[in-house]
Amino acid sequence: MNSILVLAFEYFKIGAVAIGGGYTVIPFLYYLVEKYNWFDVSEITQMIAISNLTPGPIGINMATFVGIKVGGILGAAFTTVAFMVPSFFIITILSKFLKRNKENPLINNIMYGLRPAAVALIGVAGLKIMNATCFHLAKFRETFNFWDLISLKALILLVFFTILGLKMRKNPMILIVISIIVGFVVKL
Amino acid sequence: MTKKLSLLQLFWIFFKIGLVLFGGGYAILPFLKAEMVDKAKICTMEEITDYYALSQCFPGLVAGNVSMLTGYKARGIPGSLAAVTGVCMPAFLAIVIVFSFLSAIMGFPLIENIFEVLDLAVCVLILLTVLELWKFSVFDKTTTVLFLAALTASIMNVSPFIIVISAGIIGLLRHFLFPKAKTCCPCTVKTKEPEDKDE
Repeated sequence: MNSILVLAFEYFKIGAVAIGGGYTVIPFLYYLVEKYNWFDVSEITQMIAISNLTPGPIGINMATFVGIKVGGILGAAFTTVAFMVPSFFIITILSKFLKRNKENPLINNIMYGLRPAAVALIGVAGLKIMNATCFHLAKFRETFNFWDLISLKALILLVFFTILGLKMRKNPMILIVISIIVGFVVKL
Repeated sequence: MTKKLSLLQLFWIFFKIGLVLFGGGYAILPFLKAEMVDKAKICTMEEITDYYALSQCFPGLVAGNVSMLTGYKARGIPGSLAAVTGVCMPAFLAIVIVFSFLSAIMGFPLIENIFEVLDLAVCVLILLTVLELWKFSVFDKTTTVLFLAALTASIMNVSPFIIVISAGIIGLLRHFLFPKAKTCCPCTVKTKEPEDKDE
């Protein structure tokens, strides 16, 4: 129960600062992994993949996933609610003032500062996954064999997926489905 | 000229939207248009586009925020609650169901391999998101410096909370120190996109 409340509080904070949709939550998941021992890094990508395949906002999918991992269904319920509470209050209060005035310079300036930081955070999360999947530094340190450092198969697939992803930007689900098929056939 | 929707109807409309919403909140606009503009006539397309823009500027999920604003328009605060519960419910249930299967299939080499390949696809999706956000996030000297600073801080494992909050404070300072500085809102750039999406 204790860890459920801690997680709910963490997710409450995430809900208050994560601006611009589900992917902004990913850096915070890495933060949670480092701070608590609830799940490990490989499970983060698993969560993202499954969230892409299941209906509903990705942020809710991931919050439910983290919650259920830490504290079962009850944990999932607490986490998702805690995640939504800050934006619920903020939206309810601010929507009245800002409905007619979306060109608010104060908000614009805050966003001006926030956006590049959010992009950097998401980018680092992506690089972390790339590092974990394509490069195996630990193994290289043992063997000093170059082909232990770089996983060529993974790199080729990465390029292939990038080309595919650029072709169908609006539909990430197709990319996930294709990579499941590839996973059936290609042994990484 | 708005028709009254009961809270249950509102919940049900958003539940259906949540059910067909795959891969993030950005796809919500065409569904909202069909249900709330064309069918229920609760709001106009302009309002929905405004809500969508606002949603990106506030904390929380875009899909969740849009639903709250639309629900609020229909039935005030209870409507807002009904809408957001509706849109989130399918996502919640889906994961609860998937999770119960997941532990049963994990551990098989084939499944592990599939998830390893999936890692690569997820990596690509994240990097493509960066590319998409880049256009209206990093576009002048200040934003480039902010980006590099946040990047370095993140690589050095500074808490994302600290990074995000400091970036927000820098934006706030900019507002008061340089009142004449140009503020092009990223949201207004972004709003144009969904429209050419739903054809």
